Amino acid sequence: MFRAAVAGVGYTPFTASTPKSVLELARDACTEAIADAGMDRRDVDGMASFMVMHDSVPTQAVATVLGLPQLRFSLDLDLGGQAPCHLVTQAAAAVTTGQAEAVLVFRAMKGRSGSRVGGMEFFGAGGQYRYPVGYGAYMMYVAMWAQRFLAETGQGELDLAAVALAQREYAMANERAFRRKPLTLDEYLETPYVVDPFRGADCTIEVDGACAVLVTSIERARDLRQPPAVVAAGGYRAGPRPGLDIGDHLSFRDYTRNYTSLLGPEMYTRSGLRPADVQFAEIYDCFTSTVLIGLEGLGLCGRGGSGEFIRSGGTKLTGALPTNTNGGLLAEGYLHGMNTVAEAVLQIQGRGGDRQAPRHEVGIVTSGAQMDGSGLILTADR
Amino acid sequence: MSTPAPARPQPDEDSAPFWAAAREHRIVLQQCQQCGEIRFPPMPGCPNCGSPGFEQLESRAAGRIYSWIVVHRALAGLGPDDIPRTIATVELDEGCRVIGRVTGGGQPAVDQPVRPVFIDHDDWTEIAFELED
Repeated sequence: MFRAAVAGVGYTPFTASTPKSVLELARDACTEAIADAGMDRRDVDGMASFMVMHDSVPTQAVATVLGLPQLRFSLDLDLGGQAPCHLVTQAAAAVTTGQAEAVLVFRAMKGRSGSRVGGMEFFGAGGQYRYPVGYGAYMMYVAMWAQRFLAETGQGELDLAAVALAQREYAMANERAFRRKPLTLDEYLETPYVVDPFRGADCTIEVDGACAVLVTSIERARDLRQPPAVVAAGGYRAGPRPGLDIGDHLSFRDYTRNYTSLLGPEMYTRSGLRPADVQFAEIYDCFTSTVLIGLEGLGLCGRGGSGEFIRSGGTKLTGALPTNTNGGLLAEGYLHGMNTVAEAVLQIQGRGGDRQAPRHEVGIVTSGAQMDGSGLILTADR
Repeated sequence: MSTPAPARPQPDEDSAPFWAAAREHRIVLQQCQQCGEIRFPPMPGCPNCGSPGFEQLESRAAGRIYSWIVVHRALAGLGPDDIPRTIATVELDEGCRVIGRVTGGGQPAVDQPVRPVFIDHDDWTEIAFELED
């Protein structure tokens, strides 16, 4: 069991282009997270972050420009959206075992004006089978899973649309969100395909920006400015055949179930909670399909029932399970799921404003779309 | 800042036999000598049982669509003339999967039978698929 909590969050604005360096974005978000928690930079002694194909800055650089007097824990992962919950889990473990007192977890990137992950060629042995035939964009990989998932579960474009529409509605109540224009079903269906089965509204919106959360002990967090968002469970999970690189899913067997179907049961066991106890969810959504697969994988919807659940209002503030309350990566912006974690923290703390879930004592968060990923169950201090 | 797509695959120690066979219009796979699992991509250990080593096995080169996409926008190194492009994950009869373009037209469906088409480029041979009726 962890004895750790998230005590504060920090964001830069999410923009199409910024004159700032990635390092300054990271500094700004981390500074805000420290201030939000009511801590001092001198209290921070741990940092964790991740990047894809060197699109960000190492933790040592951020520790330097923050003027941290020490580091006792430092972790830099070469991973994409699988990383945020994984890093918060590692930070919680570091705090629980006394390796560090306070750990900043951040993601900083110029994801729109700089290195765009969507078209990157990932290092690894799998690329030689993909790139020469034009199978070279991350959205193609998720689309390939989505097509099979929709066919096997008897769902279709209306189910993908349900995700896009529900999340856009949340984004309209979120000043931070990059996409805030209302979206109707007709508009969704009229938009041309980018990669069938995905249209533009099925895809995350790339942004420049940074987001950070500050993890410390529960005891310490109780004395700080914000209520603790307690880490009740966390973990990383892959099954067999995670692939030769982060874009290789050729040997992975089942495109209709991702890591969430393995991780969910483990997190429920570790936290002593059940799916029925979960009051809101923040599901990783680089594309609409991953919300459907995630809700079903976590046991929050029955197999094939996720689209109908969303369409019937189940994920709205008035529904049984408010989900992706910030508009998700689809609408708030693609900070690779770091902002997905931060939103869950704000919800637990009751700071969601117009998009606050009425019941917010137990939330589940995921990071990642396909073979592997990570998750958290956050709770109020009970 | 995306890097241009390589003009051809870059074979490595594990994949060189596969690409050499493709040049001869054959599909060769690896079969584990311990558990019998037939695998793709080529790799130095069995993803089912972890055993090193393998026997080379020639595929019957028939399979079915496991999943598919149609690329409508010139993403990731594709030019305007390259779209729309249908790309499929094909499950070969041997049980492992490969990726390739679907050529010759038609709308794929999950589990639809396909046959391979070998397309010779200047210095490599591409394995694409055509839909069976």
